[in-house]
Amino acid sequence: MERARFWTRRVIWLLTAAALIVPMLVRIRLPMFPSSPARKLYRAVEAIPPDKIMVISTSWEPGTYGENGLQTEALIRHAFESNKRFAIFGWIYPPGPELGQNIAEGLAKRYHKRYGVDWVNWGYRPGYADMIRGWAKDIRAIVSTDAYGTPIGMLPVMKGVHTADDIGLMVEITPTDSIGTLVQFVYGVHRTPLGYAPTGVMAAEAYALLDSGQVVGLLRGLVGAAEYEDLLRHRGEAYRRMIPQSFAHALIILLVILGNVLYLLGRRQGEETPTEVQGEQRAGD
Amino acid sequence: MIVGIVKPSASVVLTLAAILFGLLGVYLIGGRLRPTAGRPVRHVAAVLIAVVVGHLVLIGISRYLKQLFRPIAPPLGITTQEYTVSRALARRLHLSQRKGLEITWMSEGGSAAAGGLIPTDVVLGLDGHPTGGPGDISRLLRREGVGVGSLISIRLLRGEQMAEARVRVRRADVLAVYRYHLLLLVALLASMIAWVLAFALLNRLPAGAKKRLVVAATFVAGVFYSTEYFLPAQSRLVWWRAHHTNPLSEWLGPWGTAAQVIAGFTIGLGVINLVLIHGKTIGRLRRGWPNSMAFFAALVAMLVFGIWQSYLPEAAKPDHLVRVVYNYLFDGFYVALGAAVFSVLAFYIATAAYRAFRIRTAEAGFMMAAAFIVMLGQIPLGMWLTGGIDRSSLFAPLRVENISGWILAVINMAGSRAILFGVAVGALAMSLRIWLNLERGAFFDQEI
Repeated sequence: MERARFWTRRVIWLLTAAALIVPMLVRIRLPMFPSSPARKLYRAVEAIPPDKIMVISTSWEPGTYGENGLQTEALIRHAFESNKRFAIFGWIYPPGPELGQNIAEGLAKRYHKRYGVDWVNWGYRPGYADMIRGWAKDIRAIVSTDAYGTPIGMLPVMKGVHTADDIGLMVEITPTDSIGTLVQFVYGVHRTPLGYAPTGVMAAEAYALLDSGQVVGLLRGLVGAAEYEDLLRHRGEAYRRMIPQSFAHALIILLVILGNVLYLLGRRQGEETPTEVQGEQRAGD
Repeated sequence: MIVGIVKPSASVVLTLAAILFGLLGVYLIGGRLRPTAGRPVRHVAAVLIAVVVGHLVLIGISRYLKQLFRPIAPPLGITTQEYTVSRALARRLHLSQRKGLEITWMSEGGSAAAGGLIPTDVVLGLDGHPTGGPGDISRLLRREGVGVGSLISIRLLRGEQMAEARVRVRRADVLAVYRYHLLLLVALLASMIAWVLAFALLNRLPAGAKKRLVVAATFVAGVFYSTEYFLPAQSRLVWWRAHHTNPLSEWLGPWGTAAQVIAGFTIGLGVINLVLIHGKTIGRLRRGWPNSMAFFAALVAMLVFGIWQSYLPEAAKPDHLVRVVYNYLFDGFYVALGAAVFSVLAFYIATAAYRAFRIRTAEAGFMMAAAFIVMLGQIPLGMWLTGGIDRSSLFAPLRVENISGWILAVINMAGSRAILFGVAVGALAMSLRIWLNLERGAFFDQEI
């Protein structure tokens, strides 16, 4: 029995690897239709007036690069394409702004955009909710210099930007529920429009905020990034990664069905299935 | 003075300092200074690690100090960024180089401003030498031995025209840099002394007094933040009119800055804690000590190269060795390892899907059906399955992405909202308990 469990696990891992790797090697084209929450975020970016800045809050770490990184890329691409000035800002994870900076630098060359004029990196600021309250009231008191130590008042991109009232849209890109703090103190006090780009597992909770209008648009994990690419008419990395993800999802559905069929067969024979016991006892295995 | 100490006898000083670091490392890692019989390897390893660490840290510090106090003129009271001239313009102006440095800011009354330069000018050359990369201006000024009173010829691009400017280096620029760095050092030392004194004072307080201090600080912070939030921005009260806004709001900025400092300290405490735990693991050769060694290697490497590339102007160039090593560490190790660790989850989710998700009740059956639809609705493969249904037809709501969207936006949303309300009420109760010092258990009852 132990031997069977050992091999079952390995076969499943092998199937998962195959479901992820084979679609990367074989060119497969599948349809993609942007969802309503992604369209709303796209329209919110388009609607940012020229006298206001967009804030791209990179509250993520390398672990979620596959989702949050590609969301960041899609949003920065849109900002560059539609000539919206923007600031990269981090307040949850210290490496976030540097990761965002790397993405922006790569795209800036392509769109001939200049640092300090078209975009800026405010860097990471610790302090969570207390810091955010002060920041929303007086941005330059909290973010006195950019990530490289240049006083932000000297950068043309900061013209007319003093409080959260001067922000046309703030998009929180994160695997956490940090949007709650922004809803309370940025939207709640200043009525600054908020966008939300969480990882796939966090997206379900955001629909209540979307329905109430506290969040104007939503990108749901990798699929959100792929939808945004579709809206930008630029199917890139996110769309390409959706194909292996499609097959991995399909495999998981098949595995759930197979596991339950075996479970029902075992129950009919009046015995407790080993897979069930094993699953409960060694869920993390 | 500091230059004098570091520069002439750098290697001797560094070696002595590294030995001191080594002894400190033995104390921290081994827990005591005297050797332990039978475990010499522990001390040899500790000394070696500490000497290497000490060397690297001190080299970084000495480089920074040399940079800080180098006796040369600053780059003319301007900040610049890289700029690439378009091919067409370069051709029209017969430029041999397309790279330049665009002025993003200049100090009022600085050398560049007095010489007639303006922000957005692109500096193409200094005294006949081309400038195109970060740190080029500083490097050229240093190489040419430019000091106060020197006259420099600057070739620049203004709009779409070439121009020439002659700039005399002013004393104000030189003094401003020295003054800034000296003030920075004084401020750092003063704040360190102040913090040490404050901590010493707090440490001398009896346990009960410490607790009362924390309780009082929590209460005051709670009063401030809740009052500021609920008081209206505009009011008819007479004393309010002078401000035309909630007067407490003006304190949000300073409080926010204080919050940053406190949060910064917590990060520092976390690092110290990790160093102590892993140091002890190595010192006592506990199980998994090679992992602790990897922790120290990663910590030191990121620390040294991170600080180095931040403070070394030349390191802003993408091909500079320090920059290359830092990028390799950040992108090649940190980013790649982080993503790899997270991606392993996919394999565990697959096995869990097979073994853990059992339909024992009707509710579980509904949940599984909803999960399948939502999963299919989010992937191109699912969209392809119902792709045959025309998106404008009467049956369009039956497309899998539309059913998935409906489940998320209606059924899921109602459930999420109910949970959010519950969480909010719980958070409110918890906040009140902490604010009023009613919370008991865990660390609330511990002696501090």
